[in-house]
Amino acid sequence: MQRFSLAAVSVAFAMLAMLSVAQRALAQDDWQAGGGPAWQRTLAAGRAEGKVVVAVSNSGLARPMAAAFERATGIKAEFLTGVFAEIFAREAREARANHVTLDVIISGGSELPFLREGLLEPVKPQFVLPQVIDSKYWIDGKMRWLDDAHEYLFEASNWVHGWPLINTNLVDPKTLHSWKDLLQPKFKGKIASEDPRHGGPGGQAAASYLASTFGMDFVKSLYIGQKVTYTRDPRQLVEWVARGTYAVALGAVQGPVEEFLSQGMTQLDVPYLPDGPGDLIGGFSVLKQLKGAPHPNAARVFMNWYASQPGQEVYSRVTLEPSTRKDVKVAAVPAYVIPRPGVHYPDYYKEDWYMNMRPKVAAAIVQALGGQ
Amino acid sequence: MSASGRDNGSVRFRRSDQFAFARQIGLKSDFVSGIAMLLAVSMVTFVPVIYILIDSFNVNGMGQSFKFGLDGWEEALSNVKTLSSIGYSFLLAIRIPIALLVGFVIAWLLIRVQIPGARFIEHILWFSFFLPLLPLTMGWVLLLDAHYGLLNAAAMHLPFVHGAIFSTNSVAGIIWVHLSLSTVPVMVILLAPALRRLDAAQEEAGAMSGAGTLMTLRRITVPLIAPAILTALIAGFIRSLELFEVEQYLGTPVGIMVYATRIYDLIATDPPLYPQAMALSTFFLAVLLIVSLLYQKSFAWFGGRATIAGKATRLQSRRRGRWTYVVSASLLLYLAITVGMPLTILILGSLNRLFGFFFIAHPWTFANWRNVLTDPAARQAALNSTWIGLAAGIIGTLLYALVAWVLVRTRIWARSSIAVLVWLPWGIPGLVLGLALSSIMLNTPVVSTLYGSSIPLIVAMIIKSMPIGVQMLRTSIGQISSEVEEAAQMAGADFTMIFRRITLPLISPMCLAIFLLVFMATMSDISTVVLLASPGSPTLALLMFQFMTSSQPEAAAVVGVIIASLSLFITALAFRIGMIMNVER
Repeated sequence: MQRFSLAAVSVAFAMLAMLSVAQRALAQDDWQAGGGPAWQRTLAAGRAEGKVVVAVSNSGLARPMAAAFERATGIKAEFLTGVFAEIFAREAREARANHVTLDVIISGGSELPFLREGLLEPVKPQFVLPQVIDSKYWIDGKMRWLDDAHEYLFEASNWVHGWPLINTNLVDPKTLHSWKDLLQPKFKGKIASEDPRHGGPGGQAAASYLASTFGMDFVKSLYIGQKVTYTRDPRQLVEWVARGTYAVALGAVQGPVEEFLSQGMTQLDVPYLPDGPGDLIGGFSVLKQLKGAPHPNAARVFMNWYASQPGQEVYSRVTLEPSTRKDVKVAAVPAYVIPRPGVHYPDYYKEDWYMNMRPKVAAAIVQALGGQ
Repeated sequence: MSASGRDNGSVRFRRSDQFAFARQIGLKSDFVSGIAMLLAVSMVTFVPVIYILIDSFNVNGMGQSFKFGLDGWEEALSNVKTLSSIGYSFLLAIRIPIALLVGFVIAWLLIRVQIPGARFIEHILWFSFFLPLLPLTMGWVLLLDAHYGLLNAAAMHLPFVHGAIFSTNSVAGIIWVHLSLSTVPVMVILLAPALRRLDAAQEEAGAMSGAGTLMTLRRITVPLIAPAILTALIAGFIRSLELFEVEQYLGTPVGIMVYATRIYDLIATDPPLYPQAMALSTFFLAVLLIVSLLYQKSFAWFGGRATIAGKATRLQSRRRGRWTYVVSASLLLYLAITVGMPLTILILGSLNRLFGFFFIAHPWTFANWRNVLTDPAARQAALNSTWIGLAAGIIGTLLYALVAWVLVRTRIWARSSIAVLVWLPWGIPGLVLGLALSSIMLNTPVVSTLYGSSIPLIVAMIIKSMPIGVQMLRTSIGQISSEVEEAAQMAGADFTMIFRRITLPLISPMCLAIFLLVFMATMSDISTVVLLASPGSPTLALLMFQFMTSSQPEAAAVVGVIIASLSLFITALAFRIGMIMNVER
């Protein structure tokens, strides 16, 4: 009897495991469910176009996304990657010359000015799959948009940024309670930062947050008074703290931090500072499209896939940013980038901030830190 | 004894009318030929400059509707950081005369003395020049960083050392990285072909007259190859002002900013400050123009320093003494330090779980190699790089040889202007040149259809390497007396046959050198091609750059080792071809 029970339990477990795998596989395929004949026509036209060309600011996305997208749709995805400034320069010249070679762009919000020039194609009408447009799949019951019209710049991720990174061999986390603690003389020459005089989710975004929260005098006292050392390389910034070259890093991002942690660099820690818990940003998750995309159907398929559960799973797994979809939960996303319940975080991924406030704050920071 | 050719010294330079030959073969219409050549060269060198100049006055920024303003210029010329960056650029250029001196001595030892293992040493120098700079810079950081450098840590064990003795984040550190990895090797590469073309009889005549080694060097060898030395000096100086990757990586933490990093900063900031960047680029062109005009004057002053004439020429070198073995061992030690150490770090880094972390629990893995080698993009990148490198190398070398020949052998109209125009591509940082070229391509009917293919990359690399290609081939052609070509012409050969059968074989050592330089520039260039490359077909250098910018230095190191292996193979092949063609003997 006991033997029979054991066998029955084993079979039950095996069936459950198979069911779980099957459910997962089904979920992977289900993203197109309910698309209908119109979607099938778009898919066929996309396949006929042969490929989609995607520009991404996070180079790490290229290979996993290309593989997953081709597996899911049979359409080849080519990726343009590299430093954002270079991608942006390319977008701008192609759009203004009316010779666009990029179908989709996934980066930050720097393309917002293109809206005023009429260079962007609305994205919202191109989202057609029920699993994308149904509000029940999205946190707060709606898709997030960076633009006020809620049509052009889709924000797939929203996470906490602006935290400090410390080396616990050099700094006792219990002694850090406030951002103002970093102004202590013992931190002079011991802080590094991604260069705050340049755009992107690293240095300048962190300094902008601190300037908005504590004022420009604090930024000056911190960056100039504490003789902060700058780098343009986010990996080098984390490596400096891991090696103990510097005790604290400002403007670090989670990718390199988690990579070092996974290799046993447990001396790295992100302390929670209640007086400045960080701001919310969309990082390089914002999807948009220039007018005149060369492969419009393949682009439409890609955009729907990107906003779907499997697309967001790939995005979140690579970038370690939490998705704005409810059904995407990647365990590797660190807790310090997920908003804490009950804590207020200013959201800087808004058109007003991006177009009106951000340039002024950025200019003030650049001026305060020695000019451009 | 003098080699000036203007007195009665033992070495006389041929001052015959070398232009007569050009006239005889049909280039009679100096004005028409001049206009045609001027237009052709202007098309690829001057047009991008004009584009940049116009944009420096466009306050709306590059590619947008034109609105005249001087804001960019005012900002560029009044900004303290800009002025500081120009100062640092000139300070760091101090490495050029140092490298020239070291490079000349090494080249002389390799070619004229033929120390034991000369071929191997020369091969290693070529190889080191082709190594990817940025990953190897990271290698030097791991060795020499003031906080955690392995050599500093080792030195601390010495009783008299109490602190870091090396620092890569300094002017000296940046100069050292350049000297070890690129500046000294390129000087050897540029001077070796000129030294090879010397007639041993000229040096022997000096020795027979009682001159010692130093006097022979000073009075015979150096004057004979003075045009090549001058070209290497000026090319090295201009090129040094344009480089920025090492300065960006090592200089930013300590506030060292050079002209090129400054321009990159202005472009990379959000929103980009194009007018200021374009103004600064244009401003620097003025420096370039002055230098190139001085070069022209000097080149004219040197005259036709032919070292190969119609009579039998012996290119063999001096006999070896015992001391040459000591010199050879010293050079091998130097290369082991300057090339071997950072290369070892690069290879080890490609096998690291975390680049440069050798003392963690499980530091080693083959996963980086497995991931890169199974990546279709890597295979595609290797194919693209090889194809673009071969195309740019072959087409470029032939074009440079043609332009150089016209500049040396003819008196076509606007010859001096063409010679100056040829320098222009080095007056513009790679990224700005790439911006200008892509904008021109996008806005030019018909040409715009090529945008997105590999042709713009080939064109860009040919343009980018034009200064060094044309100038070095000029010196090489200048070393050949025109009587050699005249003899062929007398025998009934037409221009094509003479160029193919006489000129090209005689300058083939330099052609081979230029081909390799262009090929490997294509393998390693990032800034010029990054805006032109098609998204689906990056080059190996761009792939490496993608890995670097996405915080994957381990994968970047793998691609770096692949580039290094490829360069080793290509260099070996080129040397082999050189031997078959018997051009080095």
